[in-house]
Amino acid sequence: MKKEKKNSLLRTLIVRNELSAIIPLIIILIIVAIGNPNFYRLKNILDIIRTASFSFYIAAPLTFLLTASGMDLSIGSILSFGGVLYAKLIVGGVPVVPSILICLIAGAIIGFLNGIVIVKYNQPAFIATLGTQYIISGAVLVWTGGISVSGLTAASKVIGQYYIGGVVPIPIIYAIVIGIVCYIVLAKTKWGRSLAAIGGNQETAYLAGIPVVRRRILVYTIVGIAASFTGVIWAARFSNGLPGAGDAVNMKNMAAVIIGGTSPAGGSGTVIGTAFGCILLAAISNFLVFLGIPATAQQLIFGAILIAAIFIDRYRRQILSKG
Amino acid sequence: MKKILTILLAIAMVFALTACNKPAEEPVDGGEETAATKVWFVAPLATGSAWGTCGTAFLAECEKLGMEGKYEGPIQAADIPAMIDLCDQAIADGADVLICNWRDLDSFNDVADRALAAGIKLIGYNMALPERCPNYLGIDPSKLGEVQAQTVVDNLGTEGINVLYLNASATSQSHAITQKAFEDKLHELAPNAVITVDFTSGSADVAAEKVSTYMNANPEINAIACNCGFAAVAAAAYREENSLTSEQLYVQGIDGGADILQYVLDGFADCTIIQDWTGAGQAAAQLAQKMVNGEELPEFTGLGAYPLYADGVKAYADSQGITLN
Repeated sequence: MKKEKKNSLLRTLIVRNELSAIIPLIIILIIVAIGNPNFYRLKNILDIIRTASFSFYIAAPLTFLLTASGMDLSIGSILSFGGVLYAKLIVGGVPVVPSILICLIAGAIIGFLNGIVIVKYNQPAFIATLGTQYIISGAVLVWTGGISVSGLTAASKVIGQYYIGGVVPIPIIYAIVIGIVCYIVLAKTKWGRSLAAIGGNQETAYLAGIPVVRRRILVYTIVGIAASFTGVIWAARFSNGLPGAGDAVNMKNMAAVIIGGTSPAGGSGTVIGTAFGCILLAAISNFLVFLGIPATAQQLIFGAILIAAIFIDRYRRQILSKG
Repeated sequence: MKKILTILLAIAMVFALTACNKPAEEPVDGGEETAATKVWFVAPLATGSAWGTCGTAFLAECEKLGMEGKYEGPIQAADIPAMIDLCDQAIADGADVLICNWRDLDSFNDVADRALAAGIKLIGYNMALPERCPNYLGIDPSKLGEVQAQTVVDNLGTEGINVLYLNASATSQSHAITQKAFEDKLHELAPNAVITVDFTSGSADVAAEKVSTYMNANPEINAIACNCGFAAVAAAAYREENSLTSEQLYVQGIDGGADILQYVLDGFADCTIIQDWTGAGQAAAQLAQKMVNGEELPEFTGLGAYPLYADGVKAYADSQGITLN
């Protein structure tokens, strides 16, 4: 009886897709506790979570997209565009709230156009969003000459620099709100579950009465909004609209989603797993520094941990399949 | 609707292709062509406060000198294969002069040979290519590192320095030379200085993460010296966010982009090491013209690097046409 209970608890744990990110995270936390306990200082933990938050703003809706079997390589350029647009609007004298709204609308339009090209015209997402990436990056370069936009007002920076209670960086709060909303939408609503159905088999989903085209376009639109929002917060945090701010985020965000347990082939996704994926990626970089790993060797170990994470997931699935 | 969109896209593409394929200038007197001298500049990045400024100045100077300038760079900073591809494009485009930031001595030899075989004249930026491209211009990477170290000592003295040196790239020889010169010079001036080195990979995201992580991991760090524009912004932002004083964290930026200038002016960075990027762009175009005219060039045309403090920011910004708050 006791053994049965233990087995059922183990199974309840193992069945969770999020484990592929949680297990390596726990291992890291144990190693760093031995190597350098300063890692556990509140400020450092909050810094890790803040770093993860910036990834999570995009990675959470990206979980929707991957669940619905989509892909978006233009998020980095939309991020840069959103930040530059925000900075330009603020420097041009537009108040903060309208500036944010304009940026979000711009992100929505780009995401919507991505959706139209991919879904309505049935173009491969990889190429279509790569094309968008070049177009938006190019437009930002033409617009700014590659030079960052500075001169943000104090009020416009509050949304990125404010600390709640003087301790918790405000970007973390946005991540929590986004996380809760995305979790509820994906896991608890019919709309969210329909994305898994679309990702599993579009034809079956269509025959089941799910408006596949509309939903997929909407998901691309949401990702566009999220990317632009991230750019806005980024610009506010660093007091600048940097034309290259999003250059390195595409792969990192996709990796966070997949490591978190969302299937890259579509059909299943978990926002909680994505949150842990983002935290894992932020924690790895952080912990390598805390352990005093030379900068030249950090990438090597970073890659090794990622590979270890996917093997842990493979092992977990093997156990599951054996029942 | 689909058809209309397809037709519109096709029309747009035809226009784009027509614009890209602008015919060469008409021959004068029915004889020799008078096409403008075509000068390509392949930078490690076409954007950012440093390389972006260089490009703008280069293109403007080319136009002023009656040359056709092209300023290109890879999407990912210092992506050497992409830079080599761009050099090949310059060859295919029939460039007269190719200016390139040779990132290392081996990778670019082949493409340099191809360019020379096509009759293209070569100028290096920051580095020469032995036997292929002896002439180069730029900020001597070694001198830059020495100026960075000297400035740290000028501001902090010779004792108690614990500096985080954030470099842009771990795979670029010119950055490696600057870093080594910084370390050597700092150890010469301040033998007890502790130096920690890391790289941002030319990413704003990574730079921000590195700054906060190092400051948490090693609170003894009292200075950040940057050899990457993104790192400079991240370090200054960190000081602003944490309300730190110069005594608690000395921040030394790099280049004269609007972002870091604003931080110096606002007191969140102590100074920035100015590499004259506008001058670099202009000098590159001028050297190209001299080379085409057959004038003898010096092996190295050096451009200055010097620290810029808050009191000089306004004047510098005005001279560069940069608007600050």
